[in-house]
Amino acid sequence: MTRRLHWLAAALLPVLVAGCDWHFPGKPIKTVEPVAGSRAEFDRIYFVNCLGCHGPEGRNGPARPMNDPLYLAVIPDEVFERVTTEGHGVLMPGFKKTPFGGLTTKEISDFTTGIKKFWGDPKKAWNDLPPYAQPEGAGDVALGGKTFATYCGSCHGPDGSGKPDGAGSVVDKFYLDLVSDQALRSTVIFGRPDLGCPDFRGPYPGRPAGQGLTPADIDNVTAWLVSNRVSLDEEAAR
Amino acid sequence: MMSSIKTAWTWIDDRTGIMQMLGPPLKHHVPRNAKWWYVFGSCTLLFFTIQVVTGICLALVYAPSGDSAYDSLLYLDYVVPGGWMLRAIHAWSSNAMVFMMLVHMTQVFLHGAFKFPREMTWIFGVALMLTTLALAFTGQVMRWDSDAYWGVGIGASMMGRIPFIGGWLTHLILGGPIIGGDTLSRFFSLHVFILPGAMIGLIGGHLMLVLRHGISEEPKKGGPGEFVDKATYRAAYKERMKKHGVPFFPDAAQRDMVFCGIMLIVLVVVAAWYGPIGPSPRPDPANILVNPRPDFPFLWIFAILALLTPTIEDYLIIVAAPVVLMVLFLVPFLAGTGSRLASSRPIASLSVVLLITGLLVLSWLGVTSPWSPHMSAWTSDAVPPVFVKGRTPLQLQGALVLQHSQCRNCHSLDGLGGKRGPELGDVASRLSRDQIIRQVQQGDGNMPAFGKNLTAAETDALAAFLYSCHPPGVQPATRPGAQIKQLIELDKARANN
Repeated sequence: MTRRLHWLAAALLPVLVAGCDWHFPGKPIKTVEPVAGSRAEFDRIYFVNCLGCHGPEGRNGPARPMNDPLYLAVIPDEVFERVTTEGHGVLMPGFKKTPFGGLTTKEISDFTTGIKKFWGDPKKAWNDLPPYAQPEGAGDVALGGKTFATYCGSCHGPDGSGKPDGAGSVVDKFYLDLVSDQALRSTVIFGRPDLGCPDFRGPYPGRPAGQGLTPADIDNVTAWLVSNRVSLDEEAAR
Repeated sequence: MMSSIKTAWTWIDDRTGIMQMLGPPLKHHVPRNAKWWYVFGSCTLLFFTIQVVTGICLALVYAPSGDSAYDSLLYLDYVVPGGWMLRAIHAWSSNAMVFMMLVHMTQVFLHGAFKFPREMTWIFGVALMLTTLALAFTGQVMRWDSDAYWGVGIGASMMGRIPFIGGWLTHLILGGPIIGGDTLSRFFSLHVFILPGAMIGLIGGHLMLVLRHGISEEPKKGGPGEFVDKATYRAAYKERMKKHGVPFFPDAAQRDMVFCGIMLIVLVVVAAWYGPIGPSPRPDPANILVNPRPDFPFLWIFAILALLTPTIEDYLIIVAAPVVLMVLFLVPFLAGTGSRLASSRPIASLSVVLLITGLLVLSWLGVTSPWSPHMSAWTSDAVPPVFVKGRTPLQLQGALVLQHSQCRNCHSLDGLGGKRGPELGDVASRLSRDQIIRQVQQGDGNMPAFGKNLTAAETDALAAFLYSCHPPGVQPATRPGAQIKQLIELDKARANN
């Protein structure tokens, strides 16, 4: 009799286990949609849309680091939103919502707010920041070449064509064909701190600490870099 | 208490004659050596019974309409107490039934149990196999998620290739020209009414034939029933059962119950551990980011269709599939007599080994589906920092071209990205710079040509980046395969360390 009860209990055990709504590993957990403006929502948008080019944690990607408080302090919100929506230059695609994916206007707006909140340094009092865009007509090409040789030449070579054991060329015709004037200016202002290239405040190799580029220097160097660009179509025609 | 139950049972038996009806089948003699090899059929029946019971419970909540089926699954998963477990047991018992049925068929085939006089038992078994697979397929459609949507799409496309009646058949199954709410209604009818009804009928026939012809002995060298001779087999078998047979109940049934009990526990543990299958994202033909794949029983078909060239597909669907099915049905007529020993039937044994190996390999490929592009890799799989540090501005632009042109959807860097094309993290050790440019511009094999899609600057930047991708200590190739020797030496050095 006792043996029969044991068998019965053993047979009923799986049924009882199956009937209990315990938290077994297989119990589905309802995914909570991230709240708009939250860090989770910001991360979701970044990981799905930006990570590929801008790198993990917003740094160390082939494209400009976005996790850079200086960059986020200088770039105007409307420019950031426009670039995210419509894209910029040759290789930055726009992420406007289409039937096949993309981000809504609200998501882009939340992302702009979120990036400044989570990766920016809004409490810091930034002084003497250069303007994001090149003022119209600004920049002296000759002076820019000299400034480049002085500040950037130790890594990129005095003429910008690169050094064998240093940084690469910034006057390569194909490189200049792929980047916009604004991208060149942004690189002069913000550098690539994640890759060892300083922003306009320095320190520049071989220069005294604290000696950086002035807004006029930035205009000039940008103008000089742009002046190195050649038309590939015209070159091909020749 | 016990005496009351006994009295009640005696009354029921007296009025219905239930024991008189069940007695002969339960007491019929089975071979004494029919031991643990003979439990798989009963276990398959157990899993079917579980599916009927859990399926009835699920049908109380499930809404078989296009706009609410998916939500009713979520309701079962998150709101109904134990609903998720019910779904999990239903889904896993479906997989378990297919698996156990294949084990049962393999055992029957290897033991030569399909031979004379059990040809019809085998034919009923093959029909049961097809019905089980149909139940599994229609069950997957019940989830009405992206896997179901694309699964139906592929099934309909296959059906549409049948000559003359393909279009009509597709229209009939889909309930119209496209996949919609009517499709779900038709598959629901198949899954809940038609196929289970057919299944019960076939099981009844199968069991009736098992009782009629008895269970064949486990073939042993020099043992009884090793050879099947139409002239003598029946009488000899009857004689052996009379002399040496044991009643099915309780002798053989005990083993069935023990095995079924263990499998039941395994099923519940698996269901509790892995949970319900699906649902995957909602069915949306515009969503290209889903990676649909069928349930376990159909992964091998998924792999075959993906790996074969489109020119062979028609022959596979229209010619090969019916021929294979026909051969399966005709097995007892192709080898209906002679030795039942697997060791004396090398072609049969080899066929089983090849079939199982093929199914396992194809199913594994179906799980990993290395041919499927990873459609969001270009924006969501980072270029690993090791491929960014120390690169020139032009090479960094090349990495951006790689992402922007969606090369990462098919190619990985350091294992991250699509797996359809070769890994690019060491491409420079295999291809020279000129070869990289040629490959990008002209494509090769499955790779499209990008010559018209990329400017000269983009191509040059991309080539500059890719030519910087080589393992540390290995120089980039200057001619085809130039650095293979270096790579082999590097592998050896790594292995030694």
